This record gives sequence, structure tokens and C-alpha cells, in this order.
Amino acid sequence: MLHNLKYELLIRIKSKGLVFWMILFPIALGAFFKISFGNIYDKYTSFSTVPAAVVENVSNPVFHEVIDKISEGDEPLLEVTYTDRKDALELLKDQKISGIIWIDDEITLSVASDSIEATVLESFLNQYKRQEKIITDTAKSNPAALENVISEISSETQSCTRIPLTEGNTDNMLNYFYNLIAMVALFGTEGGLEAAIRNQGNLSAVAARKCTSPSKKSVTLLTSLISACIVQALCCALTVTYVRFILNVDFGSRLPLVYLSGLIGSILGVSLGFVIGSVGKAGENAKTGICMAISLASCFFSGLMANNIKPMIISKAPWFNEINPAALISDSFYCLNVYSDYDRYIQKNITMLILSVLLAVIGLILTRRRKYASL
Amino acid sequence: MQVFNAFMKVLRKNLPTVIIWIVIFLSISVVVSKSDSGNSEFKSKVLNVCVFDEDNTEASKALRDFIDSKHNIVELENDSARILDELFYETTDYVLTIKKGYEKNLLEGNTENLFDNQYVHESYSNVLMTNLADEYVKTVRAFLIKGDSLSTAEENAAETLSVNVKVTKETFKEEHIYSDDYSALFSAYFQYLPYVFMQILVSALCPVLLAMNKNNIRNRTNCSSLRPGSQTSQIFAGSMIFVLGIWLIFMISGAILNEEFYKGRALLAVLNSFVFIVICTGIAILIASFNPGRVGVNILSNIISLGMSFLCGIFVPQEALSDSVLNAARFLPAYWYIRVNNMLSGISGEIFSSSLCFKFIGIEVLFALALFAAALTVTKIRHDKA
Repeated sequence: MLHNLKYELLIRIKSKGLVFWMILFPIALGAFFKISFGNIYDKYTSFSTVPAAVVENVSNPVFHEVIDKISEGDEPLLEVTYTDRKDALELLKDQKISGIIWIDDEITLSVASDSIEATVLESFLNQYKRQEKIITDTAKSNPAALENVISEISSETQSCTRIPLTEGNTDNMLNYFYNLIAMVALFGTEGGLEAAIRNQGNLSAVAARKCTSPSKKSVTLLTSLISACIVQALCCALTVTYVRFILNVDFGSRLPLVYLSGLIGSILGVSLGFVIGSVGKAGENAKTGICMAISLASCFFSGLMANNIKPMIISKAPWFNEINPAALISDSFYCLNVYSDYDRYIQKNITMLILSVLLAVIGLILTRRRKYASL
Repeated sequence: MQVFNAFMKVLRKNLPTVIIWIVIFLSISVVVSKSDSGNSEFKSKVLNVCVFDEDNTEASKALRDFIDSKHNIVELENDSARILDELFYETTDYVLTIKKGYEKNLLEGNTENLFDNQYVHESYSNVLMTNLADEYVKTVRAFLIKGDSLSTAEENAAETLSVNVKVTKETFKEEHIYSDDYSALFSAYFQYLPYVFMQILVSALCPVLLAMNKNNIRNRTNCSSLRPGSQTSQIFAGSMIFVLGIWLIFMISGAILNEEFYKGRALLAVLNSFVFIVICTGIAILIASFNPGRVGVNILSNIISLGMSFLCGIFVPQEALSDSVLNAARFLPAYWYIRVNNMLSGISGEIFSSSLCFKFIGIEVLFALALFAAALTVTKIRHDKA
């Protein structure tokens, strides 16, 4: 058995396809992800001070003071540039600012797009205008209450208390890296497929030769599957190491469990490929195509190509997310990152193991006791 | 025409790959074209907010209705794992829990800690929603102090909080940022074309060229009565028919998806795409000239197409890429293609200028010439060595 295992491993390691698809391709794709998505979270999601220009066509000292007040501090709401109309429009056109606040008889705002920064600016100006209205209305209808009303609306109210949900890394661009590792694990379908094809006499010349050898079929098949799992797990571990230590992607504090899920994901990938290889009499090329299509489709629905696919699946067809191999693998990394307990992590990994066993058993049932009248 | 016929015969074997790429790209384009297009009026961002009402009083219901009038209320089960998933993937932006005793505290003037809020990202959304909750509470309190009853104060607060400043969306018409001939939606179709062109040409044209350049086939043809010039021109004709055919399929499909024929600025996009497909042909010929084998072609087609797509702004807007990445991307043709496309549609901060546009297309032409020259040189060196 060890002899067979040694040569099965050597055959796999010497494959050019393995070096590229399992090692070089994930390394290149991971680097592309890092280069492209490295800034996106900070740029589009994280809050940062909103740059704006103020054009004072008339003097409004109260508003000027308010603007100065909210532009102070370590993390102010606004970063304001006082300028004239021409320069302000130039700044807006060059996207150096998110909007222009015009101080005329009435305060108005100019923006270039429906961005969230523009909404923040609008919200701030609305708040000022509304407070002005409350004060004016109160002065007219109930001057006695004016002082208390002003005191109330200018007070620093903190009506909300934040309930923290996670201490993990909340950058949702991480999902791309989770799925990259899931993709590598699912490329294990190739290994599983090879194990099936190289042991079915009617599918390849190597298998026909093996079938006539004195080695037990159970031994050759088992060593093929084990070697596929070992090689796949090594490739997966290499990808995790590369993503974590070279690309500096933060997986949280439980890194050994990330490797464990990579290993289980690799076993799932190999089992899936083994079943595909065992079903039907289609040739190696056709089955390779099916394996690639299934693993990439699985990764697509887990969000490898577009981050918003997974939440859509979670809301429309949550059951699919619970059986989709790539989603199971990437979700296990996600659970390790965001949840402090292990419940969902364990659930995801047990589902993967059950699926792996189920697929391997189906594959074995399909391949066992096959006899060939002529090879 | 023997060489031409053989070229087409080998090409036919690679057509399934081409068809798969065309079908995938056009299907995605159809889905994208059904999505909403831009608007010239400003619209504030509407957030997806989940509200849990533990107080269940008139006051808490009024607050929920107020939030509903400003944002989109989403219903979620009160399960922390589900909430975390929703917030992490940004399908819900903010979760607000109106705590028990809200109405009582509001009447008594205890405005601190009336709500629990949950969010995952330190984003603009939570700043907006937290400010809105504070503003609502302060406004209701102001009306209560003024002497209104709670229900009147809530009505007046909702009315006051619907007063908005006038917001104008600057379109910079004098600079022609936006063109009706070439909408943002249409530009998205052209944005992804380089990726598909690279994939199709490298994965379909390269194997054919490899087959035609196989030593035994090449030697057999060389010792035939066919002139080498005729042989090359037949391969060239076959390649051009294939490349033009692919380009026409995408141009016609683009016109159908956009529901009108190209005019004005869209014609420049058509020219840009034509120059780019010539570049892709150059890339395919250069790769084939190195004779990398089928596995090599597969590797190179993926690395080149994905690499250029990520680095040059095809998959991610150029404005989101760092300066160092963009500086490196200047040495790749897709960078200039995307600059032209951004300029034509006015996205990523590009302002349209016809002279700059032609300048960038000129740079692409230079890339194409350089690629063809490199391919010819490599072929000659390898041929001489053989």
C-alpha cells in the first residue's frame, strides 16, 4: 500500500497542471484580489471625514460657527474649504470634494453624484435648517419656551448604545479570499476524478493495465484517493499560508482551524470529483469539463466572482447555501472570523464531512465489483 | 486554399469554447442591462434598516413609521447570527432596537440610551442612522417642551424632519461629462469586452496557430509547391475572418442590448474595441510564436486576461485602484482602453476630450504594432534556429 501511495503521490506532484491550477493560479489570483480590493473597503464602506467646499455669497456667522465646530476634532464630520464659485465647481468636477455648500439667503447644496457622502452632507444641512425652523416657529408661537427649546436641540444627545456583534475582521472583501481557498479545495475534484478514471478499466489505458495487475483494486483505489487528498490539502495549506502571511489577510486568531477547514474542504473536493468520475462512461475530457464547471459554479454561488451573490442566495435559497461545497468551506472561515463560539463552525465542518463520506460511498458503490469482458 | 481550409477545420474544433464565452458574456450583459440606469436628480441614500420594537407603544410605533418614511425597513428574525450575516454582507445596514420604556423616558426627558443599535462596519450608514435617531428624539423633545402633547409633538417632529435643503446635482454639461449616445450602462458592456476578447482569442486562436505551426505540418507545407507568402496570407486571412467575426458578433449584440445603433460618442467606443481586439490578436500570435503547448496556452490565457482585468480597471473601477497599481498598469494596453471608455461615459472622474481620446487610442495602436513586431521577431528567430 505504501509503495502504491508513494507512486500515486509522485505522479500527482509531477503533473504540470497541478503546479499551475493548484499553486500558481491561486497565487496570481490572490495577488490580483489584494491589489484590486485592497482599497475598496476603506474607500467605499469605512467612514471618513467628508470633504466639502463652502461658498459664502452672504455673511452667515451662525452657520459659519456651526461649520467650524463640526470640522474640528480627531475625526470630524466635515473637512471644509472656503472658496469661490469657480474653484468650488472645479474641485467638485475633479472629485476632490463631495459637495458644495452655497450660503445665500437660503443654504443650498450642490453634489456630483448620489453618493453616501453627498447624503451625509445633505443630512447635516437638513438638520441645521430644521433646527432653524424649530427656533423660528417657537419664537413666534411660544417665546417663553424658546430658551429651553434651544437648549434641548443644541444638546449632545446620545440616544443609541452600540451592541457589539463581533470582534472579528469586518472587511467583507475577505469573502473573495475565503472563496479563493474554497476554489483551491474544490479543484480537488480533479484529483478525485483522476482516482476514478485511473482505476476504471474502460476509461483509461492506465486503469486497464492496473486492472490486470495483482494489486487489490481496493488498495489501488484507496491509495489514489488518499494521495489526492494529501496533495489537495497541501495545496490548500499553501494557499492559506500565502494569503495569510504574504498578502497579510487577517483570518482572525484561530488560524490552525482555518487549515483544518481547508483540509476538510479538500477531502470534500476529492470526494465530489470521485463521484463525477465514477458516474457514466463519458471520457476524461468531458468529465474534467464537468468537474471544472461544477467547482466554478459552486464558487460563483459562494461569491468568488461577485460578492453580492452569497447574501442573495442566503435570503432566497438558504438551503442551497447549506449544501453548496464552496459556500460551506468559505462559511467555515467566515464563522471562525466573526463568531466567538464554535457552534456554526462545527456545524459547517460536520456537514462537509457528512457530504464527503456520502459522496465517497456513492463513488465506491458505483466502482466496486466492476468486471470487464474485454479490455 | 488548402491552408485556409485546414485553418478553419482546426478552428471549428475550438468553437465550443468561443460559444461558451459568448453565451456567458451576453447572458450577464442582458441581466445587467435590466438594472436601473442613472438619474440627473439627486436622491439621498436609502438604507436598509431593521427595527425591533420592545416598547410597543404609540411613541415607538410613531418612530418606526418615521424611519419607514425615510429608509427601507427590513424584517429580520431576532437572531444574532442572522443579524450578523445580514450586516456583514450589507444586505441590512443598521439594526435599531427601541428599548422598553422608550415612551416613558421620552416624556420624562431621559434621552440617553433609548435605543440599542447594531452595525458591523464603521460606515457612513451608521453615522447617518445614529444622527437621525438623535435628531428625532431632540425634535420630539423640543415640541414637548414647547407645550405639545406627545402625539402632536410626534406629528410636528415628523413634519419638521421632512423639511429638506435644496440639492442640485451638477452634471457639468459644459464639459459634456454625460452623453446620451453612450450611457453608463452601455459603457459597462464595453468595459468588460477586453476580458472576453482576451479569453476568446487566446484560448481559441492560439491552439489553431499552434496546430498550424507544428513542425511536421509546417515542414510538409514548406516542401509543397505552395509559396511561403501564400501560406502566411492564408493563415492571416483565416485569423482575420475569425477576429472580425467575433468583433462583429459583440458589436451587433451591443447594439441590440442598447436598443439603438451606434452614433456620436458610441462610435468612438466601437473604434476603441476594434483596436483592442487587434491588440488581443497580437497577444495571441505572440503567445503562439513561443509554442507553449495547450497547457501553456491555458495558463497564459488566464494569467494575462485576469491580470490585465484586475490591474487595469476592467473588474474594479480605476478610481478604486492605488496610484502605484495604476502607474504599473500604464504599461498594459487595457489601461488605455479603460481610460478611453471612462472618458466616453464620464465615469471614474474622467472628462471627455476628443483629442485625448484619440491620443489614448493611438497608444493602443502602438501597443498592437509592438506586439505584432515582437511576434514576427520571435517567429523568425525560432524559424532560423530550426
